This record gives sequence, C-alpha cells and structure tokens, in this order.
Amino acid sequence: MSRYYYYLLILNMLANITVFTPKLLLEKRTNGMIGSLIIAVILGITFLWIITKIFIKFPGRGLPELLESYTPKWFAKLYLLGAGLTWYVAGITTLIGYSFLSKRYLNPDMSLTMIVSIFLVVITFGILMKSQKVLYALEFALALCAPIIIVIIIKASFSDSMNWEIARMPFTYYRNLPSYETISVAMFSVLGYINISIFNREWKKPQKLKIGPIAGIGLLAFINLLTTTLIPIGFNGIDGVGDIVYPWIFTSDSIRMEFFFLERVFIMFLLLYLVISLISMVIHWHVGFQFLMGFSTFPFIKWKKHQLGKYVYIAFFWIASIQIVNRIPEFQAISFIKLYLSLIIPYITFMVLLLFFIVRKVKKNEA
Amino acid sequence: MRHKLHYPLLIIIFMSGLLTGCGFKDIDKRIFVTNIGIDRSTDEKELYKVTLRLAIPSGNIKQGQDQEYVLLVEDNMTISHAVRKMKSEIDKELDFAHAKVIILGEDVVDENLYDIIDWLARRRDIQKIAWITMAKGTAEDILKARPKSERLASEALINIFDKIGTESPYIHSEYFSEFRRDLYEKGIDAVFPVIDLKKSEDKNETYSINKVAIYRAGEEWKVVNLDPEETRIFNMLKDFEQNVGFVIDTEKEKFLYATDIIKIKYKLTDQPKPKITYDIMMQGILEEKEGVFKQEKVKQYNKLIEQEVKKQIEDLLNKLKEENVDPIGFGVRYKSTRFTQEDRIEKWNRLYPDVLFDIKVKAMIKSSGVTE
Repeated sequence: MSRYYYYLLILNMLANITVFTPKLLLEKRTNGMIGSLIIAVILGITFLWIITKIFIKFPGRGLPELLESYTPKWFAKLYLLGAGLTWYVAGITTLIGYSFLSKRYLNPDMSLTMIVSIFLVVITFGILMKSQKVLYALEFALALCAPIIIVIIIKASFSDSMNWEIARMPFTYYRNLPSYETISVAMFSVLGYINISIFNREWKKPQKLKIGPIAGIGLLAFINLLTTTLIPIGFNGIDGVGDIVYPWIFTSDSIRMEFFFLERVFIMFLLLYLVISLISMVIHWHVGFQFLMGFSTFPFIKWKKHQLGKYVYIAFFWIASIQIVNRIPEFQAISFIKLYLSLIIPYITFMVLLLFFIVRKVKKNEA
Repeated sequence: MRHKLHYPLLIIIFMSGLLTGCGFKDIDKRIFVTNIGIDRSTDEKELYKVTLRLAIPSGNIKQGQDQEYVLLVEDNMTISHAVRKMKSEIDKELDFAHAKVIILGEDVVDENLYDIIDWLARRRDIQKIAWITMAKGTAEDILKARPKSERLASEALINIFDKIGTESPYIHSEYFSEFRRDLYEKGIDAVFPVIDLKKSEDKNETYSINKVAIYRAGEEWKVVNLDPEETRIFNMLKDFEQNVGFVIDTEKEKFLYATDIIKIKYKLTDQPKPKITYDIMMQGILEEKEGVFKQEKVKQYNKLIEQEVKKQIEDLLNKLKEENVDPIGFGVRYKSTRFTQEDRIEKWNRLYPDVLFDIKVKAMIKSSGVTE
C-alpha cells in the first residue's frame, strides 16, 4: 500500500490518546478491559483487511464514485449524506475535547467561541485543500510530532514515577467479560483505514495489500492501546485514575524531564497534541466534506460564475461547531461520544455489506 | 495566481488582530508563587491557614544580598477562598505554575488531607511534579525561614528535593502525583518527607529533611513517623537509594561501609504462611576504619556488614508491620500477582500482621579506599 495509507492508520492511533478515549477505556479498567482491547484489535484488523481489499480493486475511485455507478441514485445520495454527517461528528468529538482542553490549560480567559473559531479557520483551509495536499500535510505533521511523542511515551514508561506493579493490575481481571462499549471505543484506534473511502481517489496505480505490514499494524495498535491505558494507571493508580477527566494530560503533567529545555513535559505534550488533533480534524472533515459534495454540490448557488455550493457546507460546519461546543457541558460530551463510538461497529458492518453488494454487482456486470 | 494568495493572507492578518493577548497577562504583570503552605488555622472559625511565598524576580544576583520574597498569609474555611482573598492584597496576578514545593502543616494532615489533595489536583495550574512535604510544626514557619546558603528565592527547597544540589540517603522526595496515587491506591500507603528547621548558635537557620512520615488512610487514619536512621533504610528499600553508609561497631572491629551499588529484589509468598523474602546484593568501600585493615579478614568484614544490614532492615520492616502501614507496597504486589476474584486487598490486610520477613544480604567490600 501507499505510505499515506499507513499514515492514516498511525494518525488515528496517536489521536487516540488525546481526549476522551483514554477516559472511556479506563472506565472498565477492572472489568475486562484487556480482553476488550484484544477483541477490538482483531475485529478492527479484520474489517481493515476486508474494506481495503475491496477498495484496491477499484484504483482511483472513492466510495462516492462507486455508489454512483452501482447503487440507485436515492440510496447513494442518502448514504453520502449520512456518511458526511458521521464524519463531521467524528471531527467534532475531537474539536469538543480539544477546545475544552485549550480553555482549561492554554487560554483560560478566552471565550470558547473564539477558541473554536481559531481552530476552524485552520481546519477550513484543510477541508478545502485537494485530497493529495491533505495527505502531504498529514505526512508533515506526523514527521514533526511522532518522534517526540515516542520519546515522551518511552520516557513515561521508564520514569521512576511509573509503577508497573499497579500498571499490570488490569491483567489480573482477565476473567471478567469484555464489554461492547470498550470494544467499540478501542476500535477507534484501528479505524484510520476507513478514510480510504475518499483517499482511494489519490491511489490511481494498483496497490497491493500485504499481510506482513498489516500484522505489524495490528501489533502496533495493541501496544498503542496498552500504553494509552496502562501508563495513566501506573502514574495515577488503578483507584486514583478513575476521577481524572483527561487521564493522559494529567499523566503528562506527572512526567518530569530534568535536563531538557522544558521541565514540564505537559506543555510540550499539549502543543504536540494540538497538531495531532488539528490534522485529525482536518482529515475527518475533509472526508466528510467530500461525502457531502457527493450528496449535492448545490449547483444553483453561484455568484458571477463562481460555484458557491461548497461554502454552504463550510457555513454549516462553522455554525454547528460553535453551537455544539458552547452548549454541551463536558460530562455530557463524554456520554455523547460514548454513544457515538458505540455505533462504529454497526456502521462498519453495514459498509462491508454494501461493499460486498457492489463487488457482486460488478461481477454480474462483467459476466 | 498572485491575487489568489491575497485571501488567505487577508484572513490571517484579520485573525492576528484577535490575538492581542486578552488571554495572556505579560510576565511583568504576574508574580510567581514558589511555595504553597497549608496549615490548620489558629482561628476557631476558620479551617485552613494558607501561606504563599512569592518570589520577587531580580535582574542580577549580588553576593551577600538577601533574596527578596513576599509571604501572604490568609485564614479561611476553604483554600480557594483564601487564595482569592490574597489576590486582593497584591497588585499582580498570582501564578501557580512555578509552585515547586507544597508544604502541609503537621496539624492539617488528618481527614482534611483528601480535600487538600483534591484541591491541588483539581487546579489546572499547579504542577503535578511539584514536591510535597510535611512540616514539623507549621508550614508558615518553614516558609518564613531564610537559610543563608540560598542564592535565589526558594532555591534551597528545590535543590534539596531535586537531588541535583545535595544528595543524601536521608532525603526522601515525593512528587505530588506519586503521593496522590499512593494515597488513593489500596495496598500502599502514602509517604511524606518531613521538613524541619534547625537553628545553629549564630541564629542561622537551615532546613533539615531526614525523616519521613507515613500516612495510613481510611477510617482509622494515622501518621507513623520514622526516625532518620529508619528513613535511610526506608529510602534504600523504596527509592533504591544507592549510597547508604553502615556503621559496624563490634568489640573487635569498627568501621564504616559505604555502598556504591545496591540491588534489591523481593518475593512475596502466601503459602503456607505469608512470607516476604528480600534478596539484597551490595558492593561498596570502606570509608572509615579504626585500626588496621587486613586483607585476609575481608570475608569476616563482609559477614559483619551482612549481619548489620540484615538487622537494620528487619527492624524497619517489623516496625512497619507492627504499625500496620505499608509504604513499600507489599499490598500492591500481592494484588497484582494474585488472580483470585475475591477481594484481594482485604485478604492481604488479614495476612499482613502475620507476615514473616526473610532478609538475605550479600555484601562485598570492593576496595578499601585510597589507602589500605
């Protein structure tokens, strides 16, 4: 596969740590969490394999094009509208989390509207960029941040404050049954491949999906999920981690680098994750925007030959985001995101069925 | 192509107008809190007495000049309200982001400890890598002290706990986040370093930090104090302090053994009887010796050291057991290695009073120092 495909996967794993996922996973830390993580990775990799395998049969074509060619028009439109909104919500979960975070830690005196607007300006540029340029931006952001994030994670694992005896305690609860909620939350970290439904347009040459790298991705995802959950437990205790709203931010504030240009890892961590969250929002909303453009481009809205249909969506993104972020309290946001993430598995199952249907139709047409 | 670039540029210029700094206060409008002290209020109506030490920045450090700082003291029912009142007493914004040392008075460490820890954890601007310590007496007295060796405001306390300045096996330093974890975690008890003031005859004050206090949480909370010699052994077992000295004083031989390397491992078994087996390997040098050092007697010396170390460790562990506190975290070890579904920690609490300690020490004199 193209290296950008792997970037998409890695981005989701990194973005995983940012906001609410660790909290949602840690809720079940004494309740079959480890089992859920294993199931989530296996399930996620299976879906990854099926969906990617189908998409590489259609080089250069994204999901909107496939739907247009092989499904009824009303269905394609409806599906694209739904998918567009789903991806929009995926982006807004990060936006909610990170704007609360910036309000609390970076800019306590600034209004939420202002914080969100500043994010939105950057993201809007990202949305309107060409898909290929978005991938370039992604590569750049990862090259910038990933090494330092890896250093921080390694530093955290070997820190004196990290108590591995407490951190391994979730393993002792292996007999408890895994829960559906935790599986679906953990699945998010192996969900990056799903953006192939738009970015497949950029991969015009035939691609090959090899089992080796994907097995590596599976292992990486599992390690990533373990660090996401076990490091906060080791730093804050299996009994003390429960009431922390942002376990990873709190943990990064407990790591100290004595001989580095910043003593508080926390400051560095916030800025790194600002980049990761922004690029993650750009990817989600870029894909969502492309789906919506597939739904309708509003060809009748124009001004002096300029097509203005896409700005309808941008306006919607702005207004809805500012309204949602201003109105939703933090703890409700968490339960809302939990609900949203629990819909991942049904959604992907539906998508797989749809893709199978398309493949069958293609075979019929050929025959 | 050229005019296309104008739109993003215009927007960026427009947006930069929003960044005029309404969210930020400049550094000359801020004053930095370097230490937070919390005591029990002497006023009966109030609960806490909060003391903040604020550093006054100065451009150049002159020799013999006293470092300037301001102390703010306020009594109130809640800590946040006390801080709020203090804000009305000073012209600058109080900035907690550089509060490196948190000192709690002896009296305030009781049921209220949880409320204080909660406040410190909840505040976004207080570092979780600040050091926490308990004052012998009141935190206010500690913060009023001015040790002469201090060159920058509150530098002394930071150097002590950081172990970048002085390094001593008697000093135990504890990050706030570690303290909070051990306080909430069942199976391990939280540990305070205890800070005390020492006055010499010429009225020079110095800090002395050579004791620890163990806080046992729960209904029957209590604070167990260790004396300096116990603290030294405790630091060796808990923080893997490497440079510990042992005095061997028998009728025939008298010398001081200073360790370079200590490796500590322990095993915990509960069948048939609860037992903790310590495996300790140490290497070191002779630092002080009365009489002549004889090479052929090294094995005998090693034996003497082993006996002495074993005795000291056993005494400490048995004291902890009798007081029923567990700062080293045997309970956590038990919890993390047993896979039974019943309440492990309650089972461990029943086992702990009967636990036996088996200490195996292997000491080695690597060298006799510069002279034989």
